[in-house]
Amino acid sequence: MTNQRLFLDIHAIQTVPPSNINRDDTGSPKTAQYGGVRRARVSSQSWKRAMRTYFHENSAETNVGIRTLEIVKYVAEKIQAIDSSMDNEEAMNLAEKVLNAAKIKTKDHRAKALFFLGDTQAKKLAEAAINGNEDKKELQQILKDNPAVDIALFGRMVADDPTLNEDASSQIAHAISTHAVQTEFDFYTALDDLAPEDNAGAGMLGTLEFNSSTLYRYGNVAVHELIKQLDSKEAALNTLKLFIESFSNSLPTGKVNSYANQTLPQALVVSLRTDRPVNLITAFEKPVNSSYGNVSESIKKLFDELRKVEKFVDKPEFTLYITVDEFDKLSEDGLEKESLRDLLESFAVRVNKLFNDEQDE
Amino acid sequence: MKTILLKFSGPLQSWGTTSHFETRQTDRYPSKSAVIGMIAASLGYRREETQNIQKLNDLNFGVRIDQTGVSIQDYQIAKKYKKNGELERTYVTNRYYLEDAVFVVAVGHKNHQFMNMIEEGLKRPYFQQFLGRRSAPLAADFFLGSTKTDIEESLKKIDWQAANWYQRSNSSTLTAYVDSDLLTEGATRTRHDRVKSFSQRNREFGYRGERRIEISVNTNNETSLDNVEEHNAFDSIGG
Repeated sequence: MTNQRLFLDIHAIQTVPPSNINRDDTGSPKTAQYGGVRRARVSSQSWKRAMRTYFHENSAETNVGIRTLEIVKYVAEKIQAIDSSMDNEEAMNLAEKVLNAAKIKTKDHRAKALFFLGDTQAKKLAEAAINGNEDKKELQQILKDNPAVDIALFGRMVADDPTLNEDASSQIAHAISTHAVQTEFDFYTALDDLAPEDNAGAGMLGTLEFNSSTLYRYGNVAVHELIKQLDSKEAALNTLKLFIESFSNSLPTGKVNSYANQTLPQALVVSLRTDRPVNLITAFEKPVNSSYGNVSESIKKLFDELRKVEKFVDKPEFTLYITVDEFDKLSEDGLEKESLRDLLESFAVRVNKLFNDEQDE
Repeated sequence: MKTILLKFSGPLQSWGTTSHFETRQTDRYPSKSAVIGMIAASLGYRREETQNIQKLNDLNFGVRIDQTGVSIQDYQIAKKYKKNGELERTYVTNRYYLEDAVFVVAVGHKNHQFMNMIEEGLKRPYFQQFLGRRSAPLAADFFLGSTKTDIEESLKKIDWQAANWYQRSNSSTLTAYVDSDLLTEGATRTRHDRVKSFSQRNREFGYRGERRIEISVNTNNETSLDNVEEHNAFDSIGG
């Protein structure tokens, strides 16, 4: 297993209309030069924050874990799942006891601050509670050995205590536009409703900067490392599904109330590779220059590049994709899916099969 | 002697050797410690495996600046919360990147077995590789190939890797920096990028000497993925 590599690659083409979702200290949208021209850019840390927020809001349904004050209840449920003879109150007390023994403070059966408790962590704490384990060190070790899935995936940096640092198993690139952009200035005036009739002037005036772009977005996960971090293939698979979903459906919220720029990807490509992760930014080194919108041309270039990189790397285990448009088949192995849900179901089936085949060997 | 040549390119790269706290600088070209970090990550070494990591200092190292790139400052904030959930303070950090740069990095050693292990690792990495920062992944065409010549010779022979638009408007005389003990002429400058430890508890670096050379390269090289099979950059080196 030590030499096993399994990388999830995820690519998206996403159009964002006039907006300023990620700006610098002067209020300008972030940019980057690539291929000799200026591009729109959304920094990785900005999009990762949007993903983490999505992650926390949706982690309970996908059995990944939960970010809540109700961690006592969460562990109590796990206790009852193991020992169904236990009544609610008994389970709650036992859960609170084990959490307190692990030095997580609670009051009235609730945590004092929002706490992310992973599914695996909760199960192991429940087992320990039933076995009457009250050893502080051992219980804290359970929390430490099974980092919450969001920390395993996105990493953690604690300046005060470097031993708590966790290297992330995912990697998210800065999103950049597939084409050249120019930042535009939106001049605006605001009128004073109570200004005297003879004052025709504005109450204030100013400018906002914005641009519109078709972005190439890329991220990956070292699946072999995530399995090791979480110590569970089941937890890893659930985490990957939520990762794909959050990558697709999250959006940084910068100036979203001014521009209502909520969009979803026009194309999403997911591959599982056994050799290395592959970033396809090279497809756009020569900027897309289309007079009828950049989306179709960008998706076409992305698909072309995916075929071209097979000169360098092994064929992926599988590739699943969704697009809003009709295109030539991605490749012989690429499987087009109807919807994100459809893609995730198919992904789970394939990854499960891969995990099972491995065990049989 | 076996030398591996790598192409570092993409929208963003960052190669800090003097960064502290909230200001994260970048040098104008990759550091040896960063490349050692990339190789160590590829081989699956963990941060605490100091002995294995230090052994990679034995590699001969050189880097050629094929496309200089543009320096950019990236503004980022991070919020720190107290235990009770109240905001403690907002950190403002400035990260510096090189945009649109291209480098050829050469690593070599006389021990072929050692080099083969590194080559295999670079092609099938355990941890993700990146260009100085995690958010700047490698491009698919980063592995240029390997040669049987030394660092200086390999860097002199490999074609210019800059994009066509750049080649049309820039000089074909490139600057390269090579480990000082591999050359006999030229002034030595020191750089704070000899790896002692990547441990989270105690990252530590020593000093390394490097010398500068000028290299004249062939122009009109098509460098897009389309031309890889048609154009073999290694014919001239005999690698």
